[in-house]
This record gives sequence, C-alpha cells and structure tokens, in this order.
Amino acid sequence: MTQWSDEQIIAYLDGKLDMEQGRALHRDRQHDPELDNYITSMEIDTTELTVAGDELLQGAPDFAFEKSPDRMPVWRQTAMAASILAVFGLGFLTSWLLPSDSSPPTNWLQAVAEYQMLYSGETLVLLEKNADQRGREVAQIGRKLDIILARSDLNVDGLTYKRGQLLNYENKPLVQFAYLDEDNIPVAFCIIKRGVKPDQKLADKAMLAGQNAVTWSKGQFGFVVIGKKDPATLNKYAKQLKARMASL
Amino acid sequence: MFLKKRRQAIVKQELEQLRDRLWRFCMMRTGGNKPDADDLFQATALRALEKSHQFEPGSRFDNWAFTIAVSIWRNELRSRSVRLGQGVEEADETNLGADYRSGETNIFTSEVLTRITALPKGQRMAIVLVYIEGYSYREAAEILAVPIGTIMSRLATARQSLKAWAQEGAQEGAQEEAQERSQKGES
Repeated sequence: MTQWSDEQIIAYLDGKLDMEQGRALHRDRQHDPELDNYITSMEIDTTELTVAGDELLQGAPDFAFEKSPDRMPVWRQTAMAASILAVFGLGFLTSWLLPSDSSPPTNWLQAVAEYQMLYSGETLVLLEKNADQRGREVAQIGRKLDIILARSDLNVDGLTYKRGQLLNYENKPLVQFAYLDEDNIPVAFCIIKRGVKPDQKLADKAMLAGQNAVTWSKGQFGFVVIGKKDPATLNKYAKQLKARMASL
Repeated sequence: MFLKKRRQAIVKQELEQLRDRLWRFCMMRTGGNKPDADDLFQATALRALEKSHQFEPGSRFDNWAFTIAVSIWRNELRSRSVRLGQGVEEADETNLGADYRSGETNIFTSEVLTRITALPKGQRMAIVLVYIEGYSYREAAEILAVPIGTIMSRLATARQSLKAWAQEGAQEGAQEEAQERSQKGES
C-alpha cells in the first residue's frame, strides 16, 4: 500500500489529485481504517469557508480611511491624507463632502424595507444549509432576543425558510428570517426587540419600491412580514407567524 | 516621469478593484481586529503606490498587494514585539474576541469566521489564501514566503481543527435544541 503524504491527501480532498492517484488513494482508504480515519478527520465543507469569506466582503467599509485620525500613528495620519487623494481621487472627495441623496431610515420598518428591497430570488435561492445548521442558527438568534425559538416556529405554509440573520437597528437586536415563495419571491419575517409598548393588532402597510408589509407588536417585540406580495397573502403568512409567536 | 505616472495610475485602478478583497485579507491577517485591519489596508495601499514602479503590468496585482500586506504586518509586529521587550519573533497572534456579528453578517457565517480566526496564524492564512481567495497551493506558498510543503501541512492541521470544532458545535447545537424543545413542551 502506498504511503500517502499530507500534500497528496489534501489535494485528494480538494479534488486536485490526478485521477489515477485519486483512485489509488480512494482504494487504499477503503482497505485501511487508519488511513480512512485520518482522511475523515480532515474532511470539511470548504464551500462554507468560501461563503463565509464572501459574506465578510460585504462588511468591507466603503471608505477604509474613515477612522478618526487621533488613534493613528503620525506617519499614518500623513499617509492617510496622501492616500485618500492618491487612491480614490477627487471624485470620491466630491461625493464625500457633498450631502448624500439618501437620508437615514427614520424607523426600523423603513430600515427593514430598504434592506429587503435589495433582495432578489437569486440572493437566497442558492443558500443551502442542512437542518442542523438551520436549527442552531434559529436557536442562537432566539437567544439574542432572549426567547426560546425553534426552527419549526418559523414554518409558514407557502414559503420555504432560507436563513436567519442577526442585524442591528440603533443598538437594538433586529432579526430577519428570509423565505422564498414558490416563484422565488423573497419574503422576510423580522423581529425587533425594543422597549415595552402597547400591543398592536395586524396592520397592513404599503412600503417603498412596491413592497407591502404586515406589522404587529406584542410586549417588547415588534414584528413585520414584508415582501413584494399582495397584502392579503402577506396577511395570511403573518397570521401563521403571529399564532406561533403568541407564547413570547 | 510619464512612465512613473502611468504605472501609478495602473496601481490606483488595481487598488480600487481589489479594495474589498484586500480589506478582507487584512482582516484575516490581523486576526479579525478591524482597527488594525483598516490600518494595514491603508499602509498597504500607500506602499503599493510608492512602489508602483515595481509592479509589472499584466502580472497578478492581488498576489503582489497581498505580499506587501504580509510584509508590512510582519514588520509592524516585529517592531511591536521589540517595544514590548518580547524579542523579535512574530507572535502567533489570534483574536478570539473577534466579532463578525456586526452589520449584516450571518450568525452561521460569523461562527465560521471566528473559527478561522482562532486558528494559529500560519494555518489561518493558508486556509484564507487557498479556500477563501482561491489561490493554488504554490501561489499561497509564494505569498506567505514559505515552502509549499509547509502550506500543505498547515492546511492538514487546520482542516483537522475546523472539523473538530464543527463536530463539537453540532453536538452542542443538537443538545441545546433538544433542551429548548423540552422546555417549550413543559411550558
């Protein structure tokens, strides 16, 4: 039996070992439990790493020189001024100094609507996670809201659950659960935890860019179901979720 | 003079295109410390412009810029270590407190990033270059200025650590979910 090096095993796991060697290693693995265990101990889903890296890209600052100069070494303060001009040029400075067209969202619903507006079916359609991952994700999000939340609490007839995200609105936890309907139209269910307010019944709201929303609130939680769907359909989704959230 | 300006213009353009990836690379290189990553990004951009005459148009700008970032961070660390009286060895820095959960980062993603960040530096950068940046083993070795065998053994060890953490996480998650379900059933 061949002695396989880490180099060959990693290449095998990454699908980069040539076909003949790959077959030989596969064969040896089947007959050598020790080798098989060793290879298994290195088997990971590398696409998870790639996806995580891609998501980190989304957090890249628009302007990497925006930090306050007082914590920077002197050479960096000088360098910063030079590099702002050198790297991004006058066009950037103009856009930086002139007032922005978009004013910040005035409330959490508007913030949710603006975020949701960026979603397309393609944003979510390729997201594949197993039941364990989704279960853990939901449970962790629940803990951030100080509630016990199970994946099954988020089931909605006519919608496929895709993922949960923990967001933040003015230092309040804001979570978004993303779904797709049968036509791959994105729909989101969001919960914000804020101060206790009077409970509110389901209410339809027209939001920006052709989106509709159904809102309600209970205790310290505000809820919204939002998407480019007609109000009646969203209302149907909201009723199911409201019933499941009744125990909060 | 004309050639120098032309080369600088090319580097500026390349920097703009590489900006997000370079920042991500700096984030991973500094162990998830955003202020340090921002500093490293700026210093790398500046150094690239200063050395734009050394960049060969048509060659891989990303490899070149990442190599600059690695070198700057290594030297920066060395000077910090000397100031702290810790000799000249580069610390195997990790930042277990790195928090990727701000903004829009998904919880599952932030867990993966936190695990990558918790890896020892050499393993972390091998993982980042090969599985996040998509470099070949050889290119990753060149950027980090280490033999290719070192990259492979770092990948092997890093993969074992990531696998072990994922298994632990899955077990804990299953236990927590079962516990929460039973609590719900009781209430």
